[in-house]
Amino acid sequence: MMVDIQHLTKFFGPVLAVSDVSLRIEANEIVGLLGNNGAGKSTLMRMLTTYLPATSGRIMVDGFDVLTQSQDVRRRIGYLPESIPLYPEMRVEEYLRFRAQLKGLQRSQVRSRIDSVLGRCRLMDVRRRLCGTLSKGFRQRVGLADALLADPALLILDEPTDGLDPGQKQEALALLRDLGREHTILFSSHLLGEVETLVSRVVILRRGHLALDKRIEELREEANRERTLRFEVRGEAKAVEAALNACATVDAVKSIAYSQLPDGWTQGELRLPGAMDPREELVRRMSTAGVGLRHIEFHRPSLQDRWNEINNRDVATLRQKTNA
Amino acid sequence: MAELNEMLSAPKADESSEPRLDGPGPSQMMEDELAMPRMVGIASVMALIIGFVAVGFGLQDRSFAIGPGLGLLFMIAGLTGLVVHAFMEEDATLRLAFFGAGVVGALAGTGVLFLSDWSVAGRALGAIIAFVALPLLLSVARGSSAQQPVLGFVPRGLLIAGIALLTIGLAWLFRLSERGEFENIGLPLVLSALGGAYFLGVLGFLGWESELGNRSGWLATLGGLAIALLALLRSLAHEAGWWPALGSAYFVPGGYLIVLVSLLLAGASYATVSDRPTLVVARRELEAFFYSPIAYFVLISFALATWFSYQNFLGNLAEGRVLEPILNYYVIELFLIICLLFSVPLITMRLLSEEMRAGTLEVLLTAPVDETAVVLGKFLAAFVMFMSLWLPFALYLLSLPVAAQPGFDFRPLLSFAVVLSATGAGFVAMGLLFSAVSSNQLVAGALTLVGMIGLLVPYILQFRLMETSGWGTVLNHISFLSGWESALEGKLIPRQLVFSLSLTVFCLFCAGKALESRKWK
Repeated sequence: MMVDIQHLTKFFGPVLAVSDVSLRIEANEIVGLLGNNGAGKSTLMRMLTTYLPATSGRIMVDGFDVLTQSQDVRRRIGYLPESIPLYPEMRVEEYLRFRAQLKGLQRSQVRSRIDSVLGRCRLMDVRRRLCGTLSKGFRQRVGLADALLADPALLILDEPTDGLDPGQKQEALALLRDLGREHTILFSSHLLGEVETLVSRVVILRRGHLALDKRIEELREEANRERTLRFEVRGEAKAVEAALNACATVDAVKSIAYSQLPDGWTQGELRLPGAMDPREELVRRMSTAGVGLRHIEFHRPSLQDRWNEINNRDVATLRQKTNA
Repeated sequence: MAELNEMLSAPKADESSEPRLDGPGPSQMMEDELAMPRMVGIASVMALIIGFVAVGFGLQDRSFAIGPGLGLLFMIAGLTGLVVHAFMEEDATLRLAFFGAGVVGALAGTGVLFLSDWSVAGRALGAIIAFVALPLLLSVARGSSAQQPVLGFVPRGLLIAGIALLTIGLAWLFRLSERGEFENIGLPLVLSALGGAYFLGVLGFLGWESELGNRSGWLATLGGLAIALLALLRSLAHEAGWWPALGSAYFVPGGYLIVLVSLLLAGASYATVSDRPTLVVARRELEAFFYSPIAYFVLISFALATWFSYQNFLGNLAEGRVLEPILNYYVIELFLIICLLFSVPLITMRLLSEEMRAGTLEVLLTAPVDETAVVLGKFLAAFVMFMSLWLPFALYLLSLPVAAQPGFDFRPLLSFAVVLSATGAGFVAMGLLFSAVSSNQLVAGALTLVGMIGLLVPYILQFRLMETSGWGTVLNHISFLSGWESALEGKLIPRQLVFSLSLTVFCLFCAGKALESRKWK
């Protein structure tokens, strides 16, 4: 097991930044760490990289304790902070050479490692540029190159796609996907959509608490189980209900959530069990009954919906849930 | 209707399906045009010729449009411009010309040093030309790589030349020390300095990665340490009476100088090729100093302040109103001290404050590097920077024997160098501590300035208190200027070093703790 976080808590004075978080990351997993700003993502990452000590709890990285064996831990991680700090007066190549020396790379390997990460992160064109003159996307790539220099087993990336334009985002995600084959990656993000396509596990923090920790396959199965049928109708209520009753259970029909649309149509959402697909029959019945039906689709709760649900719950409920 | 059918059945236009993998690239880099460096080169050659003629005329006491002093300035400006041009030139023929000029300069300059019937001024000029020849020769070696093995001989040749000069210089020093003859000590010192500059210059040029550099560096480190040990043992043997030399003293000045030169060589070589994190941090920090305008500002203003002091000193000497120790009139000068008070904060204020402000401390301390290594490395870099402030000071003094024979008794400078290093270490450590506790450079700088003034106060107070209470003596031991004064008399009083050294250790320790304390906030 790569990372073992046990009951991690961090107080900054009176402020509780991280509260009793326990997490395990296996080798070669890509874990997406999500959360609002201030949820504790960066703090968690900083504790993992040995920059901050925890108030209580324990973190083991590859079998080494972060507090007592911090040098061993640092040799096994590559870290990219959110602010991507670079020395503006150094050239990209010089900066990477400095970092390579600092990380204890062998003299004979330095040149080839630098060339390798420059190629991997598409920095060949800017290797002689001053770091202070780089745009955000390139700074991010340089930071990532630095994290990759010593070929660490664990990559910890704080918002690696933040602030990139769409093209750069695609590239960055592709690169992460590629890296995920050889390294364990923990990265934080705001963009749920991109996280879904990339990760093998999703972890959501809310106000310092661990709100969700599930594999992406589990999330998809749950989403499938909770799918609903959305439709937009216009016409007599009785006719609508009759059609619906013929296609689904009474209880399901009773618990339909209706909402009025501005142009006179009504939107409804029907919860369906299992693999039922009554769309064709529903359309036939409704049109026979003279009900107007203009939209019918399946809707699976996305990660966005899970996210909204978590963020709308209050913290007390969360605490209960995690303790349960 | 038919059009609608057509449109509906037409195949969907291929809207640039896959994203171009290169994406929008970085902005174009235009190749530097060569017109500018070439203009600089031409102007430099002109300045060089004018300056050379002016100096030549001045040496022969003939009048010329500009005086020899200004002529020297022209020469130096011309040589600098020439070096700048050499590094930016691409044309093969011109580069070959520079190489030729470099070789001629190196050989002629070094050769002139040995011509004893030339005046000291002429030989000093030769030394300057030999020094400047080094970057000219290196400018040709730049760009040499595995694909251009032919140019690989330049660094090798220069390394050998450096070692050769060092060997001659050090052997000469050993010989002088045995015989106790120190009037001509200037020449072997210059030869050693020249050899050291060549060797270390090439070492720096080759960089940490080069195998050749690494081997040479280790050779120089071990060799330098061995020679220093040899000189120390020899001095000990003389003092203990087992093997007396011809002169009355071996260590002062001969042995001291040999130890100094060889330890500097060993230290600088080791620092350039070592893998240790402390030295990695120190190297980067020293580079970063010279990328910022503050370094040049401090160097130039300190050089100007020293020059001002020197003029006053010369004025006093000329009118004969000096008492021993003479050098007091050079060093304990108000303007120079004030400049020193401001220089230290300017050097040290950005050491850790900048890292904290920019966030680079986070990536520095999450690399497998100790806080201790970071603190020590930055201290070393700032200390080297501080000591390099005093280079013009030494050069001005060297011009004394050039202007007026015979030379002067330079031995107090040996003790002054020791005391200066100790007090300098204290200043720099204090500055580093203040930089570690504040993420704002200006606050750190202001605190350091206050600290420097505080360190000056004991000197002023001690005279008043000396008669009335014992506090005067205490203040005498604390005050760094008192230490400087006794050093300039030729005395090395350990009591006066204790405070500076304790301050150094204390401040470095606290700076390390300050870094670690971020953990427990």
